[in-house]
Amino acid sequence: MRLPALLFVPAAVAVALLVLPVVGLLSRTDLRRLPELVSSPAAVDALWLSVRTSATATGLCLVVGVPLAVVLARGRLPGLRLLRATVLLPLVLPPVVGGLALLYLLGRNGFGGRLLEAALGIRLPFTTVAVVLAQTFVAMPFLVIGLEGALRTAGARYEAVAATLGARPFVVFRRVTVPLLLPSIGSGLVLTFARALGEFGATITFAGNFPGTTQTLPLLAYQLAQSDVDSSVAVSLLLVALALLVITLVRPRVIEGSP
Amino acid sequence: MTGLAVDVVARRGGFALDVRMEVASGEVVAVLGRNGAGKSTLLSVLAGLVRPETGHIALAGRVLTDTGRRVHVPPHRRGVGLLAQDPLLFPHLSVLANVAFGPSCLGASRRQSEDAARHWLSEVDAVGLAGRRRWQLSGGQAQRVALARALAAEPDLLLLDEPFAALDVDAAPALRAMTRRVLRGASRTALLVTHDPLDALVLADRVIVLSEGRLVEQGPTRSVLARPRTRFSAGVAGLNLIAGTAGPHGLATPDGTRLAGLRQEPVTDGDPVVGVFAPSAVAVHVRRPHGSPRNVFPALVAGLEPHGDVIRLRVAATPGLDWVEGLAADVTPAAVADLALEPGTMVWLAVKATEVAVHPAPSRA
Repeated sequence: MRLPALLFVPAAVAVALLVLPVVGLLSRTDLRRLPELVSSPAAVDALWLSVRTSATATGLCLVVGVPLAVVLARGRLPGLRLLRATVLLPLVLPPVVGGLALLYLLGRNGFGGRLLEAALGIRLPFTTVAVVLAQTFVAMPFLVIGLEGALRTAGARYEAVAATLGARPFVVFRRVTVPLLLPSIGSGLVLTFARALGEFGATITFAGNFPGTTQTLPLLAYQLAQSDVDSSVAVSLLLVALALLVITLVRPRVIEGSP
Repeated sequence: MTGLAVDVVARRGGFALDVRMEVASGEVVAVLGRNGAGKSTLLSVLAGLVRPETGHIALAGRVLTDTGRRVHVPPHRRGVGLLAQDPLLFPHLSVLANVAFGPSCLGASRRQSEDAARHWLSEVDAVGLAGRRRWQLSGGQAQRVALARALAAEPDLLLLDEPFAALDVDAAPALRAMTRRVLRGASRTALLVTHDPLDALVLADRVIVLSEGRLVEQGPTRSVLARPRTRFSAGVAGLNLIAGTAGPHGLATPDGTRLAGLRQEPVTDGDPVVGVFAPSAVAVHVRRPHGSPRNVFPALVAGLEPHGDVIRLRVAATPGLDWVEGLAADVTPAAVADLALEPGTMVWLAVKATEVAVHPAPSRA
């Protein structure tokens, strides 16, 4: 099919809007000092922390998000529509507000926080765990919404056939639902990881900005922007490179898995 | 009894299925009916995918559903297999693993499951396909594998939902013959939903006809198709059917038209009856004919379609003769050209009284 020529104009505008800011970032970069700036101890620490926390958050999303998507798509519970809307909440909520909400739940004066401290002696705010929680909070919808859509599109026919072949519900989930969903899970995880990597607002309000424990790359870039612009730009480029790496390296492999 | 006994009422939206039927062990029953007659709902209820509102289902001596005692055996423990129009082979598994799926769910080891899978693949002449994936199979091959997969789960009842409808005309006969072999060979209990009278004739011992969620006709396949009592089963058998009440001459339609016909069984005047005749028994004229045919009535040509070597004419009613709507007449292509027949042409249909068979009608026709 030939595309209508008219589509190319707005499409080009969209590409410009996505790509030109990165060009702007590159144009502001001092290429000679770049290796030195991105290998500074603060940048390396932040990079390592970002990768670790984002990977953990992605893992958390996988463990709880896949079952949630299946429940949302296949469940017959009352109040499921409300639950579906709730999953969208982190997408529409400004991340800073999400961070505040987490703080008032799990902070020292929040009821969840008091409970945790009294029962287990754990304080979450301003720890690396808080970074992971903030990232999980904002990134979860990216996995769940994609998976729920894929499950609905696929329909429950394969699952019904599996049941008539004698598969009990958990066997159906393990041997039919999940394998059929793998391509969607893969692409969902890439999006989730990328979102967690870029997370800023919820992290800074709930976890703070402490080098080594909660200062991820976006937080470092923000901090440096106020004092050392060259370093900030270098760190930002590092973030862009990391995000592009994840998307381009992992995504094609994920898509290959589909029939 | 060790077969299937069903007595259920199920609702889906505004539609209600209300069916009571039995299938003997080893018997194959064809379920006929228009779209929306409740055939799929019946299969879903039997497979346990839809819960009936009230009722009772027993299969091979086990109670599968009993709403009175709140019994609802889940699909995976019912022993009811399903073969749909779409083979629905699991795309992430090889053919062998697809067929081994059922046995492994029943607790067989990997090796036992694969042995069973090979056995069932050989039953459908598909051993050579064992290593393939779904997208490397033709439609007929995929449906054969799906049949093997359903059988490998050793169901007490096999549900076949228009299993040949999506196949090429070349592939359908071979698969029909294959299905007949595996169903008859092991004398399996099966329910076959179909639109094709050939499926029913080749595979089924008995036919039931559903209309608006109710069982309106049942009997041995050959007699239902040879002597249909409802317009639907007449349509399936390719026959014309007119409902009315019995009279000394034959039958009278609701608007009072008298049709001459021959009674096939004793009936009392005034009883509901149906007159059945083949499209090939209908002569088509552009002017009112005079001669021996006793039944002559006007109609409008609604459509023309090729039907083997002849052209099948569908007619619409003229005002006041509603029962004419939808009747079929077979004419030669030469006659279509000679009479200049096209949609909208007014014609006279003539049927000899000896061609109209009058049968007692079921109470709901």
